[in-house]
Amino acid sequence: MIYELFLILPMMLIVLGALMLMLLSHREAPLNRNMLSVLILALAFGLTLSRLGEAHSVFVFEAIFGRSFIVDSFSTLFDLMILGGAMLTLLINHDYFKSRHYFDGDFFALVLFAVFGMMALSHAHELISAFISLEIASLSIYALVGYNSDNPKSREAMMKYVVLGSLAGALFMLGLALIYGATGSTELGAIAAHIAAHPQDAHTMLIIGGFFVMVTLFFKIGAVPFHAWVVDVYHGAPLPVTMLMASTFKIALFAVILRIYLGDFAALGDFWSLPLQILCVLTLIGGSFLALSQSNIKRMLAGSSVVHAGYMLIALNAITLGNFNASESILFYLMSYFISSVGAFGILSFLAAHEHKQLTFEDFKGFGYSHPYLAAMMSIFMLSLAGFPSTIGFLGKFYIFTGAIEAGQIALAALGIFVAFVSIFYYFRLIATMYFYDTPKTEQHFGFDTTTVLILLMAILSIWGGIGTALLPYLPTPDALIELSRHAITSLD
Amino acid sequence: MSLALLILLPFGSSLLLGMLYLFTSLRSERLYALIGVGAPLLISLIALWLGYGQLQGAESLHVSLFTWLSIDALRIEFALSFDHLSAVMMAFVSVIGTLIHLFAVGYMRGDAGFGKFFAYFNFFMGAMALLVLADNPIILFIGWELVGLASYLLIGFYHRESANVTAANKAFIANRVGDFGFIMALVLLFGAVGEGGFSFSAIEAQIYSVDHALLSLIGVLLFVGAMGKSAQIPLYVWLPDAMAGPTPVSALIHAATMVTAGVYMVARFDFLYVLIPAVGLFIAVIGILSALLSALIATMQSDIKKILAYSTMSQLGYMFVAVGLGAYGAGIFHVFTHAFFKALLFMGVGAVIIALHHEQNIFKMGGLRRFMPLVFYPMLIATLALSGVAPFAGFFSKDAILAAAVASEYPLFGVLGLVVAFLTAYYMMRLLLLVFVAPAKHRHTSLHVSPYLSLPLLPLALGSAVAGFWGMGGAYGGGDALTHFLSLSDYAHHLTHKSEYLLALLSNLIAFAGFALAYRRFASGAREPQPTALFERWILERFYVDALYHALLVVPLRRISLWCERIVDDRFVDGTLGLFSGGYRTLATHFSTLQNGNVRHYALYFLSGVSLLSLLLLWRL
Amino acid sequence: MEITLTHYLILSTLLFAIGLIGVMRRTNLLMLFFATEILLNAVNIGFAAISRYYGDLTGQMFAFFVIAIAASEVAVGLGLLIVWFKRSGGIDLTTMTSMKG
Repeated sequence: MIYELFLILPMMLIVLGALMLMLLSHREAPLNRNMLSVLILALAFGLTLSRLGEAHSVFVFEAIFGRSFIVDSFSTLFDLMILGGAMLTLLINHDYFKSRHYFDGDFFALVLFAVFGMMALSHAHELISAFISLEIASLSIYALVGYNSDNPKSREAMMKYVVLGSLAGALFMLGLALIYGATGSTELGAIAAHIAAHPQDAHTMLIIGGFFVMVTLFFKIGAVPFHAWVVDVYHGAPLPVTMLMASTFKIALFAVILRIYLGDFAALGDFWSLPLQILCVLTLIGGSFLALSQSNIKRMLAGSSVVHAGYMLIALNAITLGNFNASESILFYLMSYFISSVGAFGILSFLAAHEHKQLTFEDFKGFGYSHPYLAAMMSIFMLSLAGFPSTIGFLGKFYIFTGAIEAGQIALAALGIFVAFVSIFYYFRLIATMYFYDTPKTEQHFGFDTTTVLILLMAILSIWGGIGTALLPYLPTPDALIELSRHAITSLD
Repeated sequence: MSLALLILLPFGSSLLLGMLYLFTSLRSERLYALIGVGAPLLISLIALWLGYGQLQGAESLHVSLFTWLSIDALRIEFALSFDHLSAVMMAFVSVIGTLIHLFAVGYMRGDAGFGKFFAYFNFFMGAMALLVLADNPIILFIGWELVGLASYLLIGFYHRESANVTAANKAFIANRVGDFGFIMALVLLFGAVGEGGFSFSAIEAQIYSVDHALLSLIGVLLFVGAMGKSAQIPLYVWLPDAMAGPTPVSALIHAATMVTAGVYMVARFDFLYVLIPAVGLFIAVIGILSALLSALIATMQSDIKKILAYSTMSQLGYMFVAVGLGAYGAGIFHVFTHAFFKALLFMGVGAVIIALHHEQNIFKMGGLRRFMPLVFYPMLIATLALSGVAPFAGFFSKDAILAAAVASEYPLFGVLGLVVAFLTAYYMMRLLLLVFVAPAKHRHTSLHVSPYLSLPLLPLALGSAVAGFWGMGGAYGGGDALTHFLSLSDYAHHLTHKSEYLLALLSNLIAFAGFALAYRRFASGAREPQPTALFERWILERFYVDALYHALLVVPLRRISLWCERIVDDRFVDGTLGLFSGGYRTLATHFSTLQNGNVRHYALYFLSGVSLLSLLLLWRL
Repeated sequence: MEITLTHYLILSTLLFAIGLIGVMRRTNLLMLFFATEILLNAVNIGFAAISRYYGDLTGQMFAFFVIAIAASEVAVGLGLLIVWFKRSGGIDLTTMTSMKG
């Protein structure tokens, strides 16, 4: 009992913190709500961290909740990633929050609610709870996207997201109804048992239902053709929210996708593989189309996030075909993408906070001369996102492609590599813009504060993740991350 | 541990300085100077202390920091060693390096890149220390490369002027050519003896098992590396251009670090070269030719720093003659004494240049003796030492080399060496007279010389005067102490005492003849020479070597590159790629029109995607 | 005629289709939210019917969850709608296309 309480303590902490922030939201007292929420997240992070590395798998309060919530090594790792991601997102936007007047207490309460939803998502072992967790996270994020209601773009983005998101939610429910109809249960273990007990060709309804459920999740990660909202919403949302959606939320979504996949649907791989491959191809190519045709950096990064989702779909497909090791590559890729994208968005946020830029490519002309250090770090992030060797992004892609090749998906791997080459075009376009235009702008002083230190940290991590293995034999390396992921995945079996 | 400190201190302080310079707004020169000079001072104290221990007969030190590479049986340790040879090298490198650092504090005062300069400078010292202390050729090569990098950064220090960048590139590229030889040699050596360990002692133990022809090839390739680093024919072209860097950099490159690396490396591989005297002869030939050529060029130069640059090259030629003929002790001895007076000369010249607001043409100077006696007299001593006048330092080391040359089977080396000695005396006295004695061409009434600029000259002047006594040959009552201390595998012959006296007399007479000629021509001033005779024009144009390289290598390469760019790249590769990428981008534009902002259309894409895919699923079931 | 599970499911499907068409056809934001409600309630009917068919109450429990979620979604949506109406004086979807490409 006490142990189970301890297990869900981080989540409770987040909810309580969110409620407290809501109650405090109209106090006039000067209160650094950003730091307060970071503190709460850090507490939860520390508590979760204490469980890392020990193998465990517990259905919390089974008597009350049934088998709908599980705490296992897998969810622990994902909790850490989500909490760490949210923490970094809040910290790196420190300057941005200060520069905009509309970030009050409610904002941070909503962020914590979203984080709670994401954590719950990684714990969900039952599809209804998964849906509720998804909705908790989504609803908070809807509100966050439209938070700057003075900005018509922000409102428009929220509207698009709400409309399409509820449509997707309805599809999830439809799929759930079909699964429930087919198996009489929505608990993942029971579904798996049902699949195992019946012959392969008796699962028509289950497969269609599962497909609808997956469609919703794919919609949220922005797979083509369910991607149309991504670019607009990422563009219209306040920068911190964009970061939260692009990195942290995606981590949570992959938590539930992986759990459902590895737990249940992998057994139906034969049916899954073809639509998934089609989705991969569409997502990779469509995403690169989107990213190519943008002139705003935020939109470009949004388009490219679609491509990154496509890479992870490649690995998901490899899992479908029986290469379960590919799930580790998804975890690693999530981390690597997180590091580089948070860094890149962090620089955007720093600029938006200090210079009120529109963040188009034009604005970055001569950036290499006016902000040499930030430009260098931006280049690192772009290289890492493009998967340039010696960055963490390269290793992430490398694991994904080798996983795909091991699963016999050579064509998909080749397409992935091709798209990676295409991505060099739009990432390097930014680097070229920064360095190839000489401007009369004078060099700005590089000062250390929360934002820049974290950006620097991300840049170091991007490089360390890429070459750390070779240079620093005594420090933990990407191999350790892989080991961690492997350990977490085993708790699913 | 103290050995590791010798490496870590300069690199650490370089890192610290670099961080301070990059990330803080601290621009206090005092702070940078304190750290920048403190680190070399500390390492020279450590080096002297360790060196004293060696002198007292202590065991040579070995320390292995960590295993750098371990593949199967092959292990490369990151190991340092401190034996007699490295003791001598380290001692003078660090002490002279420290004095040059001190000088640089005065020289670089007020420069915006003060902190950056000292970061690079300490890095240079660290790289050189790594090179000298390396216990195996791989580590030596790392130091070797880092030295090249540091020199590149420092030569191009004033990188806003494109000429300086070109000079830095030239130095780097010429060194890369040499490095290629070095790498090839290491690969071959590794193939031959790598299995039984690759430290110097391990190689020495196995060297007899290596085929003679292969050994000769390794020896030649190693020397190609030395040619690059120590500016010998044909890779010397970078050295005069390297004067583009600030003067302390030239002093450091020419006296304490970098150019001596080649000689040091040959001496380090003495056990190898002993077995292949034919290659040694080749080295000696290159050395004497370089010495002669550069001494000739130096007599016609009018840029004060370039004269010194060619003089360095010429003295390096001497050193290679020595090591080529098997007189390793004499070679290192000359490296040692040369460091003192060459550092002094560069620093004196630096003081002159600063005082005259960056005027470098000696024909526009004159009469400076009155204004800067503290610069003139040390430089006079250095000139005497460089010209090999007894009993200054250069005399003993040069005499040792000449003696070895005369005693060898090819006394022609000795004769040519004496010719070079004559030229040396001539061009050095020419420089001294035109700058300090000849009637002034400028209208300065007083010239300020900062004590930072003049004070470091004094210990060096003392060194230039007396450093030679350590290695004094038997003929003069000394016992070749340095040579014995080094205990390298010398195989050069010795002269009888009588012939040695004769040689000394001759070389001194020749030096004075050089002085006399210079005095006659330049004591009362002279106009800048206009080359008349064909030979003079040749000399002034540095024998057209640069032009030759340009015509033979640079121009054809550029043509090929241009052809590749225009035809292969533009038309063929870019054309093909352009077709694809253009098509891809057109598609992308079409695709993005689907992204029309209307959420109902988005819902349509979403739902049609769902329906088509679920139809597909149903069809497959 | 006895009403069986199949009938309920057909009804549910019809409602879902109506909802989908509504989402795609309607340009009024309010109508759009109605359509979404229809979608979710269509699923609710399915849940309840299946629950009855299996004699298992969990399905009906889910229906309540869905109602709660639908309500909160509409709450968020309506809040947005009010803000939008105040600022731009209309709730026509076709005018909301400032971001595209």
